[in-house]
Amino acid sequence: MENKANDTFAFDLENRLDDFFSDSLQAQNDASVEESETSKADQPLKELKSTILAIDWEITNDGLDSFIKQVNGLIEYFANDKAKQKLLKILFSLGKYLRTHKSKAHPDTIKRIMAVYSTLEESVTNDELSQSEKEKMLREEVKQFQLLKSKIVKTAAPSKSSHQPKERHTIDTVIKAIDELKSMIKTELDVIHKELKRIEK
Amino acid sequence: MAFINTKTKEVQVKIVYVGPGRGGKTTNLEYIFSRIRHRIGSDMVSIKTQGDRTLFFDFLPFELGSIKGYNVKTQLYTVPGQVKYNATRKLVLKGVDGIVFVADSIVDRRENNIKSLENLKENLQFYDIDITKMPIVLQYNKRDMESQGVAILDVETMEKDLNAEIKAPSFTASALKGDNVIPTVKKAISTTIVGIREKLL
Repeated sequence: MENKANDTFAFDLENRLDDFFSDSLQAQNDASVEESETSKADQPLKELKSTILAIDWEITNDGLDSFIKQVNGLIEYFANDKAKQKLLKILFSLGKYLRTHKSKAHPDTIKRIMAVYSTLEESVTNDELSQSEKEKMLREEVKQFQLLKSKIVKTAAPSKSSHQPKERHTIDTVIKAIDELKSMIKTELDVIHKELKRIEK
Repeated sequence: MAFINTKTKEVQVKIVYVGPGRGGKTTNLEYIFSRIRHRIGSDMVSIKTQGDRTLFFDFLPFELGSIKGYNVKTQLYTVPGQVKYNATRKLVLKGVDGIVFVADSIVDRRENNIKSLENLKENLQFYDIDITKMPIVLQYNKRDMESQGVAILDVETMEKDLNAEIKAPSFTASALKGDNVIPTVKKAISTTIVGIREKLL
């Protein structure tokens, strides 16, 4: 009796799943026909995003080579859009710097790459952004890029001096990294709480 | 633990896509979303951190419909693959009912797959869950890479590396092309719901 109930249950479940996923192919095709120019640019952007996440996980030569290649491809793709080109050139510079210094690169480099990528993605996918808003975002990214450059120069300079400041620098870096981790965990938890509340509503 | 409300006749199951970074977890969810978006009342949510806007996790809720008088709600999650986000992975795994482990078929990623599965086991142990008793489906993703001249692992090797202990149903797939993405999610849902059927019958 119990077996029969179980069999019927499994049968009902399989049918429900078949129904749920079966007639969706047409809708997918319809949706792809409606793809805009924006979503055409989406694919290379998604690839770039995926590469950035891979680099964030592990800095490898292959990852960085792909990153530089993909950025170059997008520079050509957006040849007529100066704002996007500028963002991509920042990404290119950061990629080159990372390729040279790898794990010894400034710890903010990957964060900056992610931030610039997010701005690029926003300007490609958000049709509601005005030109002035895009330019404002670009100016902010350029400013942050310059800031990072000056930080890199500053960090490079004291390392040539005596050992003591070097050790001090190492300790400072560790403290900074711990603070960043604390802040990241706190931010992640805050976002989860907010999103869960929003989803519950 | 699945949420079962006998008064409102509602069941909610949580399925989490896990696996190494850049293995195709988000691509799986994006493909599923593209296939069912026309029939679900919800959107796919990507939660990002506020600071560096790193992708945090993806969340796709939908209602399957009625099975044995119960309205079955499914929630699909992905977690970031990057090693440093283990706190997030652990958090998202809380209350998990079923798992899809998305492994990367590229030869160079073999070690990452094994490490990621080990990490999953540890994180489940944190919640006193034995991976061998958890509804789980394995997906050997990126099989399409072979046609692009990329060396991929043969299925036997992947089975030996990842499935020798857990003996879960497994699928070869190409999430980018959508190959076997739907059969994977269907299997994950059915395995998970069958696991809780005693409570429904």
